[in-house]
Amino acid sequence: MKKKNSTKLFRTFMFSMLAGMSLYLCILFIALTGFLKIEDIPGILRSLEIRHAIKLTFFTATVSSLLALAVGMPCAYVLSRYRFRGCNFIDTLLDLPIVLSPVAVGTGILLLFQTVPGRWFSEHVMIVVFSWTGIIMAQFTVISALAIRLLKATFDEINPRYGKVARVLGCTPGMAFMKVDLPMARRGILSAWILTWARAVGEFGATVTVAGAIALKTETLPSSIYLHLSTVQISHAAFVMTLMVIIALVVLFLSRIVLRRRVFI
Amino acid sequence: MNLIKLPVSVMKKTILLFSGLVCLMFSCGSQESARQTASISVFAGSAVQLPLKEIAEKFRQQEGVQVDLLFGSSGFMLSQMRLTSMGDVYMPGSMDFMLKAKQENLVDPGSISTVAYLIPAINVKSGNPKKIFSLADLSRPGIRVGIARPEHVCVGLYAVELLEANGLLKSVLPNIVVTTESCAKTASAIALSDLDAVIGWRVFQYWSPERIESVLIKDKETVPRIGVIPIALTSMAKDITLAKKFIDFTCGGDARALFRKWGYITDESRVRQLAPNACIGGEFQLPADWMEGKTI
Amino acid sequence: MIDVQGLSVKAGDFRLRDINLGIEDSRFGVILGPSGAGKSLLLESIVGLCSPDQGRVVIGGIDVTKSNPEDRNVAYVPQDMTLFPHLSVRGNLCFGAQARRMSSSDINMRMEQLSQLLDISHLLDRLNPMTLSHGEQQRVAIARALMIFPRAILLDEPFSALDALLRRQLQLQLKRINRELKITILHVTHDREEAFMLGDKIGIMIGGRLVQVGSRDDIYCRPATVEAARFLLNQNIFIGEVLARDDQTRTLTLGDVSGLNLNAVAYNGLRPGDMAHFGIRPEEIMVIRPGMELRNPVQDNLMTGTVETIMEKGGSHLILVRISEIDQPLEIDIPNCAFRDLELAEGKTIQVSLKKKSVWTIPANFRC
Repeated sequence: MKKKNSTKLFRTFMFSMLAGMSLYLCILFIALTGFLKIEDIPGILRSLEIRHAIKLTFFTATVSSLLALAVGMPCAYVLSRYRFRGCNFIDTLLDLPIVLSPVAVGTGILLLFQTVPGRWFSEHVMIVVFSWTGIIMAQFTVISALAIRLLKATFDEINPRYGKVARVLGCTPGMAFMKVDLPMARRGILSAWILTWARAVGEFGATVTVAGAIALKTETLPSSIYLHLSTVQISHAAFVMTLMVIIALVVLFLSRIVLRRRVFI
Repeated sequence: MNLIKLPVSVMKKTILLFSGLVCLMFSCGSQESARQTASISVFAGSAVQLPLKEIAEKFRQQEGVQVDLLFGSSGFMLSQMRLTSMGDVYMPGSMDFMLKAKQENLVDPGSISTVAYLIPAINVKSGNPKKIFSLADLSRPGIRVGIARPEHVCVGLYAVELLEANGLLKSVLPNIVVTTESCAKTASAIALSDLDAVIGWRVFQYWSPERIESVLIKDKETVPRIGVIPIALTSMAKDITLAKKFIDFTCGGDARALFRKWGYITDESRVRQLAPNACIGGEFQLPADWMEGKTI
Repeated sequence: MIDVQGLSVKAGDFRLRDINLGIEDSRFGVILGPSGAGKSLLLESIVGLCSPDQGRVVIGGIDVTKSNPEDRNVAYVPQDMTLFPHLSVRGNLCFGAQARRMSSSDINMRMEQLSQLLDISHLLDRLNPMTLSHGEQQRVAIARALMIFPRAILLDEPFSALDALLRRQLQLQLKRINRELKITILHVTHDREEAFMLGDKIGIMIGGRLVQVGSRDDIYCRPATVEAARFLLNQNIFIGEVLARDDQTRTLTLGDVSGLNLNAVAYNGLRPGDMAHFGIRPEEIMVIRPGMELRNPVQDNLMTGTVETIMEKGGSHLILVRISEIDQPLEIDIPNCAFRDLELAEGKTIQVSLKKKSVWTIPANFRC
């Protein structure tokens, strides 16, 4: 009898924590909508600035998350499969952008373009600072560590034996990676993509440091919130926040559905 | 046999997706570069965001010049200019940052001019629920007051000077529960938090009339100092003539009208009217012990 | 077909030392050893997943020591987690063949042949190989390995996760594959019974060394080292001195420290005065029925003792007999039918014979 009671107590505690947390987030979002002024919304939506910010945010987040995946995949694979001298050091190094605050990462990028090769790059290849490429670079730097972490966890879960079997069956290392590791990791890769994408959409500190928040040029949704807050345009800021919440909910929810079904990309 | 072919189709899809994205990227890139005709960039403090946006738009219409506006706290914008060696015009929210920029040789000293004036005021929530009509009211027990950090933010410094000049620093100090880290945060603090009053600028009311009301300092209480919004050409400006043109435009009549529309004061005579005894700009030394006996 | 010459491999702290092994064409080789002996590492070195520090691997007369695994044309079936979970059963089967760009008609013909041989035709259209039973998965894995027409197939404890009945079926199937496809097989196991059932040639691997390679009889009756003897459950092991050697009758006489004397066949170079380990398998000891006429082979090494313990093992009985001369009881394994005839009971005095032919000897390289 006592035992049964304790199970019940335990479960009640755990579930009430979950319920409390969900309730807290719901209230947070509902409070946000309290600051909305319905009559403002059509005007905001019509403004070129916000439409550009939405497009720019989506575009840069998509490109930077894909870049992070493309670069992160080999990095994560090596870190997951090989032990080599200095691998712990590199592992720690790759985690730095997670620990450093995004403003620090952004400042680092600005300083990078003050060095001789950095100046050469801006003069001869392209200007990164205060342009949309800067947004991508800032987002990429911040999310790449996250992408590598997530992908490494994915590769860690795949037994290297599958790759070995593929090799003996006649695959070159590249083929084995493409035909075995990659398809087996596809769910992990997809969810890593979604998470890094979501993180890139929300990225602000590094973005605003590197690219500023120039209207119609480098103003993303988070920097739009920042700009409106700094002139106390609360309902405007609340609208952008609500927009981001809705976008995030839709994307995360859709990705859950996609991930639950066994679909090939 | 169909199932075995699946990986190939996946590959094709992936390649298609990637090439599509690359195309999108390039098209977007070319679009961006196509728009880059003549342009100048202005690094400005958040305090001038609302009028400056309209001014820049007007300038673009008149001159066909794209003005990239970068807003943030004046200090952050100065750091950004320093770190990137970019920016044609600097327009901080107060003179002290302009002096700092001058010290660091980031602006052309001869080009510094005054665009508008900022009058300190008590900002309360719309409707003035706590009935705060004077600085003395801030010392009433139970009133929660916020000011900007006087060590870093000029409006905070002005607030301390204002209180001291009126002999109220000691009595208001116990009611100061928050110090904010920028001028803009001071404005959002009164709009969003449970503070009863902040000492900020009169213009805050114009930014968000439905949330903020400004109470002017009048009667026996005096305003010792008036804030100044300066503008200057930076020392790394690429297109100097264009940048100068923008500065002249910003100091000109059309721009002044826009500033006035947003509650800024553009004429010295009007300043004198509102605050007869105030010095304009200049420096105030923060008393080292202003916080004595107080922890926040 | 498979020739391993002086192979040394290092993997972490573990080391394979000086491995020499040859499996002739279409023979069935088995590496037997306890877990952690390095059997898997040996297989991985042969298929090319580990590169050796020293030595050569020759497959079909070609030195492949430096070749990539995909170029060696050997097949490999690991213990478990062998089928690719993201491919259907058919996709798994075709995997290697497609990687090697075999024509689809060849693939289909081979698939037909193998799925009949391994009895997996009904599984071909299953989409998720993880829904197959363990035994089915291993059969598909073996078929997939054979799809590429390998020169040899290497199996790493493929049946160890299966229950006994299924294991027996698959062992028989594997033996049939060996005969029908005339393919060389190298099989790794820790199961003694499996090794003796399948292997034409058996290698005993202990602690990173191949301590003995030989036919079933060699391994069974004449272990090369004490460790090998122990691993093969030779429970009656003694240590002592060679007392005499009669080259005419090829007889050695060995004496245990406690005074036990045994005759053995002189099949190695032991000389009088040498120290030696010697012993006999529990199954090789005969219990003499009272009043039975003693024929020649049984006359050697007769001794008397009392039955201490009787334990039933299923197919046979294990009897511990206390002999006055030695400290440890003799372990005797008697088939059930013989046991019933003998009417043994604990405490009974019996006579046993340790046949001379069955006594093995190993030179001991130390003196007491």
